[in-house]
Amino acid sequence: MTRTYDDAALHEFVEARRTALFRTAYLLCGDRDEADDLVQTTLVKVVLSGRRHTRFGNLDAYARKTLVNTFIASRRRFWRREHSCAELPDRPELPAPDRETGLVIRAALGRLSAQQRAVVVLRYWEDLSIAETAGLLGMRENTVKSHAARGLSALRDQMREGFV
Amino acid sequence: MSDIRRLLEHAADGGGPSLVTTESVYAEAARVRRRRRAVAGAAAAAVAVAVTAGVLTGRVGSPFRDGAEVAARPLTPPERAREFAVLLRLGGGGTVEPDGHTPVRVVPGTEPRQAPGEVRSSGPLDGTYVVSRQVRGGTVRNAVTVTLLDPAAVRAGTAGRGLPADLCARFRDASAECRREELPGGRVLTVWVAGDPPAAGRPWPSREYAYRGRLALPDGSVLIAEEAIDSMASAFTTGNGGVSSIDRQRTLLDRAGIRALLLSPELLPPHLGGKR
Repeated sequence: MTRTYDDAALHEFVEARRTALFRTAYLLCGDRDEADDLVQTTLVKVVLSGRRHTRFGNLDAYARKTLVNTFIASRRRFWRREHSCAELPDRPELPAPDRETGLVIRAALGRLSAQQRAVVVLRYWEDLSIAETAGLLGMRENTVKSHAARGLSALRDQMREGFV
Repeated sequence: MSDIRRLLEHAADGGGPSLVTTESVYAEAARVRRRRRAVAGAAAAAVAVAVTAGVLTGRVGSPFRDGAEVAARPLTPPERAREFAVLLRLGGGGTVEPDGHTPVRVVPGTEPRQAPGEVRSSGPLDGTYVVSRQVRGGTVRNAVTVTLLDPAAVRAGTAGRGLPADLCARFRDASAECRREELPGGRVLTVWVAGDPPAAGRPWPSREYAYRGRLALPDGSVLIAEEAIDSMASAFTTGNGGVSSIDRQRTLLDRAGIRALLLSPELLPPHLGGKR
């Protein structure tokens, strides 16, 4: 598919990809509001630079790369922004079993380094190859392999602890 | 690999729906384009003015030869940092650097909630400042953010409801130590202890606590100040996610400090009684 982006196609791209990007962003950062910010920042950049991309694949890769780089850059700051939530809770919500699994996994992801988390999400959530992940993150393939192995191993350990 | 994907699916499901809409993306993109055009236009105008002034002063002499300035110019980031350091009353005990302009995102119910990309602020020293100090032989860094939201931003962030009349009544937890103070001129100052709310769905184990405050102004604007603490500072959290006491040697602002900061006229524009 080699069509140049016009406004309608860009609009369609934003509409079609925003939910998927949000889910990826949420896996990366573990916070709904921060995920919203990441997606908004990413899509605004996509819209502003969209006409420069001549292929759908390019735009998708550009959006993914922008999202991950924005996330990693945010983690380089020594302090993090305030976490906000939709409502002040009356009491801690009691997690349902499925939600509990999600919580444990997100907590486990949250303990990985930003790079490890990015590699795990890109490899196993976005289904990118090692070469694609390396290209997107600007890393060597061996580095991606080692981040993936260490990330998965850490996830496994955390999951075991979480469910014991 | 499919097992891992299934597990990640569980984690991704907790995010719920995104608040980002195609419209909000395009609105923000339009704002960025307008800003870029305005900056480019202003730069071109400045060049034109400079060239014209140069030609005129060359011919007839400058009316401003004595050095009097016509209007206050915007401060450069280092100047802003210097002014902010004075407001923090650091003396020689630390350095202040600007950390870009990071408007405050705030908890709904306690502060106006802005949609992503919708935060705007209008104070002369708005921004985030990184303060580095030597404490117990090591360097401690704190970030302090100040943001002035104008009435339109407050209305937009609270779905038209405006700020709650008594913010302290919204806190169900006494540990917030919320204090409300009515000041002359219809201003209301509120200072409280804030941290990461203990809501479910938040996997991050650390809970960080520091003072935060806001000054509600009679025209509907609100000035917000907060301290963000180094999230790696173990002094503020216990390993199991519980809360340890606030370590006042590592935090920068106590209650009086944040109160004094919020009452600094340097943070407000002249039409709100400010100095700049």
